[in-house]
Amino acid sequence: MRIWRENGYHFFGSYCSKCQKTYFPKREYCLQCGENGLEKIKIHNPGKLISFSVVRNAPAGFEGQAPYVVGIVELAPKIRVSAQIINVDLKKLKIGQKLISVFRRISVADEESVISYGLKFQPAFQRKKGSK
Amino acid sequence: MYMKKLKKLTRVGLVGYGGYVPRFRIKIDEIAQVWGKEDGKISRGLGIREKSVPDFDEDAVTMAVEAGKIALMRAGIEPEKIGAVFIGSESHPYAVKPSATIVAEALGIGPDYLAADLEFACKAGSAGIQLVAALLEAGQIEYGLAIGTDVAQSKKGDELEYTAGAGAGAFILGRKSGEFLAQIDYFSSFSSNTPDFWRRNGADFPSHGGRFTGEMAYFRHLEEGIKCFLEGSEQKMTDFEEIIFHMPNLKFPLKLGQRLGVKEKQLKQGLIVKQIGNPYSASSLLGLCQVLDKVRKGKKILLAAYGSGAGADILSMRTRSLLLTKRKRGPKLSYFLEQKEEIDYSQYLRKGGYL
Amino acid sequence: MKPIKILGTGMTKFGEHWNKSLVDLAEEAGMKAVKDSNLKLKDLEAIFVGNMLSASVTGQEHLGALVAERLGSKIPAVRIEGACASGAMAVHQACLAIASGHYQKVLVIGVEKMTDLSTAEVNRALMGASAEAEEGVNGFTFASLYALMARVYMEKYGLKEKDLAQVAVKNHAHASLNPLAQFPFKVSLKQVLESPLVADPLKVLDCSGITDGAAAVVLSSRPWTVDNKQISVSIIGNSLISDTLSLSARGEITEQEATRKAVQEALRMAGIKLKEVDLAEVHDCFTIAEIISLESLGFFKKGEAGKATARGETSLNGRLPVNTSGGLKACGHPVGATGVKQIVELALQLRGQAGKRQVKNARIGLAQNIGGSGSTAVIHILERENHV
Repeated sequence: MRIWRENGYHFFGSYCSKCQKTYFPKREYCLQCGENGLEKIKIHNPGKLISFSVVRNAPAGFEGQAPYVVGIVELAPKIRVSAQIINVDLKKLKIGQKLISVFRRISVADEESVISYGLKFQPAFQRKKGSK
Repeated sequence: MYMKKLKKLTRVGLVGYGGYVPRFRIKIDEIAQVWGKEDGKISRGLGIREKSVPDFDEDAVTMAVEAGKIALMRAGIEPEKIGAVFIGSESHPYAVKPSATIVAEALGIGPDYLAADLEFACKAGSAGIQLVAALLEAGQIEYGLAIGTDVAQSKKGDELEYTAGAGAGAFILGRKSGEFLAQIDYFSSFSSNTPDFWRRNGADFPSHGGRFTGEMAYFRHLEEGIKCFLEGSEQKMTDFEEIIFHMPNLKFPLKLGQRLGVKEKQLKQGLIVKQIGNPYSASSLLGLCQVLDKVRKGKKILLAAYGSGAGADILSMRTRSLLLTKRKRGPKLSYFLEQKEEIDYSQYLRKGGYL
Repeated sequence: MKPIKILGTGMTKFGEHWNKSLVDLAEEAGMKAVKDSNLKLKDLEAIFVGNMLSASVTGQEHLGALVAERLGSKIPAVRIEGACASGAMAVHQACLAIASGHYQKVLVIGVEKMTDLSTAEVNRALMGASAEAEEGVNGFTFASLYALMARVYMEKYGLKEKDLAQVAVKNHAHASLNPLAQFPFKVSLKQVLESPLVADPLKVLDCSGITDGAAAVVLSSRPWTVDNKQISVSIIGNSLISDTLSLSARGEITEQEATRKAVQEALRMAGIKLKEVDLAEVHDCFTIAEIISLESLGFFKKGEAGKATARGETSLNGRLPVNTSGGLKACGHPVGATGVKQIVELALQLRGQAGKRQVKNARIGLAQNIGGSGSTAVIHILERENHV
């Protein structure tokens, strides 16, 4: 049930219309006025790469996937997310690089379990020279 | 044979489209070499240079989402307005649990929408387009989304392995004429119970009837289906500037074209098979995406998809000037074709292994 | 703050204890500490157990009851969890209990049994110390979280991989003098730099390993035993500060903000200045963590700790010996036990019982224990009271 409740298909924050304050990640109560019933809002990308590393010793559930890149991506001031970064050339990946999210399989516990989908990040669309 | 007169659609049009091809490619010659085949013979015979390979964390659903995103970019509508979602594939990740609801949620569609998964070998996606068109013509929905997506399955070493590719083509249809990138005029289908290619429940890979899949399956259904369509809609093959057939390889659509009296230039723009192989339910749909990326306004397009088991779906549409401006809102198929990364057979096996 | 006496200390060897269970380890450390204090088990009034992974690794929760039973006692027993800071957190809570006047003599045991799972499974379980729903589910490991910090730090301050490696070289040199360390041998700079990558840029020898072990202290409100000829050591300041769980929600990722706030509070309670600290046990779960911690503690300016380490300032003979036990890296890091081990090491040093790794004239020591990637920081300051 956790996979359903916590699915990372979108990045959701909460908005208190009374205090005009945005929270990320989403929450139940506004920290300023203490009211609940906050509005669910979607945070859009593109994002900026804050830092990254290459996981070579994978944790259980990710063994066959290593090596893979993980990082922190900033979607907006004070809104950062942790995610895998894919389709990158490690020699060229730089802090500050512009990234967009893509929908991928995150993990599958076994043949009978629900598939966990979510968002990973990759370098933003870049037109090659001469293409229309 | 009973050929009914086709009713022209009065208010159905394409308002958004998007194609997605995964970035990895493996050369047909590379596969052939692993299986000890003679140099170059198979790739030349099939007319395919390389095929697309998805990453280990991609599947029919993830590709459908990526294609759907691009379709939404072009349509410029709020996803909540979409009233029906059909996902056609032979590689749905679940046997029971619709891909359609996963894709819809990932795209922000819902909750008041009709969702269903379709399966009809390689024409499950086009069947979705027809269903959406019907719902729109009946005024039941405002917009509908139909996607054909597949990670084509094949047994290693079988002849299908040389062509089984991956990709997704997404189409959003609506009924407001002012939003049409292309107006859809007619659709029809031709079906029969023909076991040319199938996969039993629980079987890992499909089986096929070898040469039977040519004349009795692909050619028969498409030729007859198109004939019925043309007569029923009072159109001729020469009316169409752009024609897209389902492409299991390069030879079949070219041969079909010849038989139908089609000129090479009518088929040329949609022949995506050379670069990505056969992504089953996305084959003709990606060909259509490529055509839409390049075509000018006021052109007539004929799409004829074939699905084993067996049947053909035929559609015709006319492009509008809005297509030329709106298609810039999202990445063209050429972007995905350019992004390619060559891999060898061992990496191709590894990608097929996890998740 | 009224000083809290450390009456006794004890610990097991840190390492792979295939033949010992979690409670075996807890018993050994606990009994050693009680013996060292010259008290009897029945003199104790409460037991505080610091541990993080017992449920994930062994399925056992309710550690207070488990340990009390093994010690043949029915006194109040509490399990305290704060990820890798569980040990220091247990000491901290025990101090609060004593300061409240509720208990006079308390046993604190930090214990961890990690080798019953495979490395991949332990790495996954350890992510419970992080923002599991954001970092754990996406395949992060602790090494990768600290590696993210390392990358930004290295770009910002020009730190090189060999500077990081110096921390490991130093801590191993110290551990070679500590018979209870997991890795009591030296390593060369070359060995560290050539060890395989775990999460770029951190390599195997930049990372603490998987360890079983336990450490314990007996704390009291005043000296109890007449025969105890040991030099009296007390906790004169402590503090516990929280910060965000996920690294993405943290402020500056090259800072340990919780540590920075905690040390101010602890120094104030102890009534001393930072420069009076003679030695420190600092949380080097990864080499970068020691560097960042030293700066957040205020011992060095931002960007300077690496150079200071290379110059030998934090070595045994330097002006501020850091991690004479060998640190988490070379002594080992049985997660819940580390915080208590740090107290044990400082107590031994202040009493003059540290053998070959003795720091001369050690009078004041500081222990810093971090939970997660910096979500909790616990600081203790110890002082030697009687001068010999």
